[in-house]
Amino acid sequence: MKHLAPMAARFTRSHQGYQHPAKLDAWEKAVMGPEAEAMRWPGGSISGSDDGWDDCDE
Amino acid sequence: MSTVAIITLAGDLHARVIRRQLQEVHGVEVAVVASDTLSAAGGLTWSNVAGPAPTLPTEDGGVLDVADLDLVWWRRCHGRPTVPDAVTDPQMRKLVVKDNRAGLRGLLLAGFTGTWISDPYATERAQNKILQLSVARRLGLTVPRTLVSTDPAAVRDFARAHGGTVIAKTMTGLLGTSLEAGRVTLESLRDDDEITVSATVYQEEVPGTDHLRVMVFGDAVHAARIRSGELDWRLAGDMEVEPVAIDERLADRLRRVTVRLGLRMGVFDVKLRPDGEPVFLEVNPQGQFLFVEGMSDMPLGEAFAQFVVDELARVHRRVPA
Repeated sequence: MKHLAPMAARFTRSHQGYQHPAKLDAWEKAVMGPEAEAMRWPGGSISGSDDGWDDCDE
Repeated sequence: MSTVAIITLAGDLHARVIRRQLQEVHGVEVAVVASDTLSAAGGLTWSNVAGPAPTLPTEDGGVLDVADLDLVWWRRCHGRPTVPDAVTDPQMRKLVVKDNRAGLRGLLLAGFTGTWISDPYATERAQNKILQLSVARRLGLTVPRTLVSTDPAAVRDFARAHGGTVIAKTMTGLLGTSLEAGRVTLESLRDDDEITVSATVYQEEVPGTDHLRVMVFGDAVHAARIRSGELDWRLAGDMEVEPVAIDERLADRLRRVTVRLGLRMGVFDVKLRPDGEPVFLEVNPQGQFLFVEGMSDMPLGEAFAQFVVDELARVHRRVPA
């Protein structure tokens, strides 16, 4: 069977794709302390992604 | 004393920072309600008979009396809610999520009489990119020439008319997945099925390396310039962020877009063409802004806290928006 995906799937990455500049990393750790790591998307920033906040699925 | 509720997802950095700022600097009581961990938390109650007051569970295990609230920051209400593993039927798991979501929303819609940042229905409506682009253009902002379509002939014609390469991006988004904007060429638009499968936003490319992230908090406008050679700065390793003053005419138009969409706040993405013309790309009704503070030292946490305090003063004076 042919596998189809929306056009945007051409440009899809996991949040591993997000850059996480050292300056932002330091700020997040300073603000959140040890909790910062637990709050983080895999590989990404915890203060910078707008993606999918309206995502409705469980 | 004023009481504020932040409705968001569990472990939200923005909620933690703003709560701390409001409590420690402004003496405002803040409760955080995690909209994605309502299942099995208990504490959600509403009744139309004498007895229990409407309540919601707080993230830290307490219970919030909705009648005490002056302001609700409606920040995140979807996400991926937790459901106990013991609920095994997929349909019933969906029902758990939907019923908790409806309970949260209904309880606030019926029992909360303060001010919203921003109204839940306005927030959902304002998320639509077609509506955003239409409102922005109507209010005098420059917007990219855009086609939203599932029609292969229309998409190819649009790409041809724009030099054979256009930007493609999604109408919405997915939690946990980066759906960046990307370039598509006419040569790559051969598969009709790929075009017809879902509505996609096709736009002319706005040239340049300077982007603006503009935070409209009520009447206050805070802007940062994000400089990056990448089409989508979220993926840029070379990102430079610094505060900038923007033209008052642009600031006023962004305020008017926010108001026209029924919002009290908006986080705008604007791109600056090489000739200096600002081009509206989109507005995030509940966009992230603290990464800008982290990257530029702009005091946006305090700016947002002050915005909340100003909104509370408006509630207490009963001044209409």
